[in-house]
Amino acid sequence: MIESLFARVGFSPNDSQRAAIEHLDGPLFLVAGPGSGKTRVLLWRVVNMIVFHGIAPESIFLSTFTEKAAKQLQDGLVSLLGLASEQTGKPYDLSGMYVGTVHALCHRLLQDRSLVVDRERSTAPAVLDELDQYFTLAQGSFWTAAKSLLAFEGELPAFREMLSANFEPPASASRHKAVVNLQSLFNRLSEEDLDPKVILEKAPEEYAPLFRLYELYRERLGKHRVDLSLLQRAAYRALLANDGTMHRFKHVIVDEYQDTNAIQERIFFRLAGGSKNVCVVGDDDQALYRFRGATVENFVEFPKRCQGALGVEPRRIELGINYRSRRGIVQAYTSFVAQHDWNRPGGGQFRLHDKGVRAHSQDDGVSVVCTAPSKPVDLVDEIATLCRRLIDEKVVADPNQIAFLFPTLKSTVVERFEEALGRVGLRVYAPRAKRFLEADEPTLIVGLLTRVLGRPPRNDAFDRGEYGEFHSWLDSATTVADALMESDPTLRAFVDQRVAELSAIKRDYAALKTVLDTGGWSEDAAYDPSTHKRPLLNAAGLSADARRALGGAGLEKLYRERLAEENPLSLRNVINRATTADWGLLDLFYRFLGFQRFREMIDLADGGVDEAPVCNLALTSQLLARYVDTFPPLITGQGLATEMLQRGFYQAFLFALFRMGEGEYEDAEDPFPRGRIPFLTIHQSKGLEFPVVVLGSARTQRRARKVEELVRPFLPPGGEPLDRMPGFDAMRMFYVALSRAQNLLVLAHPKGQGQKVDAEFHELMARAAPIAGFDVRSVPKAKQEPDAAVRRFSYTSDYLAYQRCPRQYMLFERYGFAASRTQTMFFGSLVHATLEDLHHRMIAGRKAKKVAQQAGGAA
Amino acid sequence: MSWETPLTDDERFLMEAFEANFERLREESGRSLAPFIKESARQQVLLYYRRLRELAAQVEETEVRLVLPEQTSPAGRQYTLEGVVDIVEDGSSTVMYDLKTYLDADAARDHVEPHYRQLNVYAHIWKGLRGRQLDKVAVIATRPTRPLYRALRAGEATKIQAAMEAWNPVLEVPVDGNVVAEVMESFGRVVDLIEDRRFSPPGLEVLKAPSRPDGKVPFAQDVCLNCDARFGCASYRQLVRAQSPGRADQALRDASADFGGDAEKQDWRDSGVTATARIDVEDEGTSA
Repeated sequence: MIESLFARVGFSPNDSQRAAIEHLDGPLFLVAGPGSGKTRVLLWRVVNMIVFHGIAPESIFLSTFTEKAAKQLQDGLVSLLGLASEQTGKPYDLSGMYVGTVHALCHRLLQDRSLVVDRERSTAPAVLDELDQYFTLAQGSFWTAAKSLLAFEGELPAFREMLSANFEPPASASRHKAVVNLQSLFNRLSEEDLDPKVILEKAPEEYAPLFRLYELYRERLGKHRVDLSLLQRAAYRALLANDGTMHRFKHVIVDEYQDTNAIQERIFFRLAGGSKNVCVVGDDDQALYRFRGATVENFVEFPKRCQGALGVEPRRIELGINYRSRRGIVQAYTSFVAQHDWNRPGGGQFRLHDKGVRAHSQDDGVSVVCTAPSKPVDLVDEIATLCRRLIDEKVVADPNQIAFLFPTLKSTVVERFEEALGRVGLRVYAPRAKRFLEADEPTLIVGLLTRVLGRPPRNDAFDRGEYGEFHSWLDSATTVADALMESDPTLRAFVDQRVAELSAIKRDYAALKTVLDTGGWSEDAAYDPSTHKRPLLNAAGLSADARRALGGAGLEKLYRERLAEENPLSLRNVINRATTADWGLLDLFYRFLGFQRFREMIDLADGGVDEAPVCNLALTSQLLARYVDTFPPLITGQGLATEMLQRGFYQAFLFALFRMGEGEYEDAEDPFPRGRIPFLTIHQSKGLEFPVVVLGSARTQRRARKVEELVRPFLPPGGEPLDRMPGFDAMRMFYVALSRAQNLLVLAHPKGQGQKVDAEFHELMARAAPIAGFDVRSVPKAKQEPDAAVRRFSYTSDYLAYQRCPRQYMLFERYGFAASRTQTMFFGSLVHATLEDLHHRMIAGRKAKKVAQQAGGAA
Repeated sequence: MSWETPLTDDERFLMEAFEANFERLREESGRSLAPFIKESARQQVLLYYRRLRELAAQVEETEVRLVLPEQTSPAGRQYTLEGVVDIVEDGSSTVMYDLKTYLDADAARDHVEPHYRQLNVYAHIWKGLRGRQLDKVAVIATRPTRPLYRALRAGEATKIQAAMEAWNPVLEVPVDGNVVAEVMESFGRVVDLIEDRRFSPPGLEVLKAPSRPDGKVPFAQDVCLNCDARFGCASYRQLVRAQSPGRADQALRDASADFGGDAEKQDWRDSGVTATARIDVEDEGTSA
């Protein structure tokens, strides 16, 4: 039967793929090299379970590394199961299946009514994502509490310097660095499931303060809030509390297993405790996420650990045949990784070898090329010219099929490449090169917002380093905003009008404050209309807006409601309400889009000429939405007068994003905006493939990770040696980079003073063909659109929505703009979800009744 | 019907589920609903239950995902079509329902064409999947009709009772399959337009015309005024200019300085009073 389904879609699995698809009984260790079709194997394995072995979708647990991967798997499953339905006449509904990232699945486990006993509606804890966690640790009250807990006598900068001395690079008074350091340590501790009290008993004296702060952090979160690491811990605890949880799933499947952490391993083994059906898929050579607490040993030692946890030895299957890349590329990265010393003292290796990685392609043409060893200023031009030829000769169908990969985008070589490509008329898409905020679109938006809200003061005492850079960026943002307003007087008029409104609000606030002071009333006092209303309305010079807000029926109504809730309005509430701008930051954002410069940006994407500006605007809207969601969202007279707004928006929010720079708050786009060459970190390129890959830099700083050293005393023995981790990690990262290329891999070989490449690259570069004299026409032409997974289109949210208004669809569905106040979607989802709950309850009630009747009849 | 009447068990469940879903959606989307809109959503849910309790009790499968895989667009793109419906079985017959929360049954009764198109495609998929015929296909329009809305506002129990009895939210559409091929063709064209990035807004005429065949409200008011993209939208701008001959530029300026009516502004202000920020920004003042 499955054969006819294979035939229907033209899939002929190789022997090991077939073995993996068919192995459903007992643990499976799937070692999958790059481009070996592992996603397809996973898909078919699940289809095999559901269609041909009658496994209910809701008893399958499938964990992916990203939401995007989960969505692609679901799209693929929906399509294949739909085909299967045609043959079997049976429907397959995936809505009960557990598919998603570990975080999403942990959250779902905590809400799963079949797992949580004695609770009608289980309440899962509120989850702080990375950015929320950052803001939680960055806020002033945490630092005040920390200082007093450790009885530190001195100022906060000195306090942070003392803490940061334990990390690399040491001795910084920066709050940002301290927060980032603590964040990574705390997450690591949580993911190792270490109890703060137990750690403190074992901790070396010098590090004790750090671990006490971890305890403080945990206390401050309380029981009902968790960060992403503690979320996993909470899920694991819930699983341990009930032995039934071992039997909840018949199959546990984990993709990208090389990037899982300790607590996740425990969760997976626990979930598979009943069925023993755990299937892990991965490749230790592609492990990238140690800096997020991943332990590649989970994968390398899986057979042993599985034996220990489940009492069964897993079957090992290698998916070695690479269908992605031309032969020369596969040879290049397989020999590259062997250049490093992986030997384990006492025998064996720290890496799984003998994985049988080999190319399916028989194409022996030149597929790896390298620049002449030359100065960076020269080699960037050599590569830019090559890119130009690849595009002109139509070896690639769009510039977005050439990817530049770098270990980090914060480096001068990245700028050099961008300039060189510009010289040959090519533009790049690099939302994370340097910093996202520094891209043209967000800079312009922030500049305009700053012209409305007012420039936060620049404190000379801190004017250096990133603080200085941030303020220089704000300066440049206001400069471009001014230039734009110069050229568009209607925009200037719009901004001036908003400034005037804020001035009025500030005046109103001052006038109302005076009334309070005169009356001797505290802002915290309860509002009493009979006492306060008249004097407030009579405040000197009050604007009509404020008078309306104070004298209208709305306040009256709110007053009575709050009185009834025994939560009376304070005078502060009343004054804030009367001195609130009618708009928020997102409202302004969308009004800005009405001015010519922004209309042109959006029009560029209509038709697919250049999507980069609109993508950047979409991300900007999401960041503003994030601000509105996290910080006090409304602009009030009090916020303006006390500079709370500036501390919140500029210092706490924008400065934090600015300092995080690349990496922490965004997934890569896929496919990338048309018309531009994507610049990515190697980490971002995980799981992706490109017709042409340029490795922009072959050099890494191999530094030990301090957090690993801090945590090591609490871990079981036998992990990778601390001093060899940096070398291993560098090799794995480059292995990922090299294996992304399908048709052509391009290497840059810098030479000259201070220039070098990592030693493992020497042989590869020596063997690669020189770009000079290379005939680009020998490279197979890439297809117009990549073989993306078949996309799903919904009748209502795609077809009808597009027909209703293509432009609205474009912004909010296609590019993901965050809506300001549009409520239609939320309304519909809310009613639908609630009626669905009702129907489920009634269906369950009917079933229960039937069972009771049958039981009654039997008796 | 008074909202204060003691709730039944089911209704209490419904209200709890409503609040839980509200919180979840708010968390997921990072957005919230204005209080009066949330209230009208709550009202719809309760009205549905009170009016259609018996139908709801017969729902056999809810939120059924209908999937039509392996479709090919005119330009040769592969895609999967998806829709969601509820299925009711009462022993002898099988009925497919599609819930529409924006639809007022009185206004929609004479304009079922769009629903006819949609539900015929769904029925076609259902038949392909289950190999069974449907006995009936219908839309459930959960938005209160005008008489019901007026009665609810007036708040008099007898009037509400009468309006509830007069309310027929179920709109049956004929299933003949005639339209399926044409709709699928049109669907494929839209897939191509989307993938080709064709996103021009509808023309001026569309903006002036009623947004739905069953409605009187023009598109510009129903759709555009609720859309943040309107400020940069060529068609909307054209409309604003056309509506104010002689002072077109001023009208555009006014449109971008319009931050909603009094009710909306008041909601906005009130939301600031009740909102609690998750992060305090009280600080040591500097921020290096």
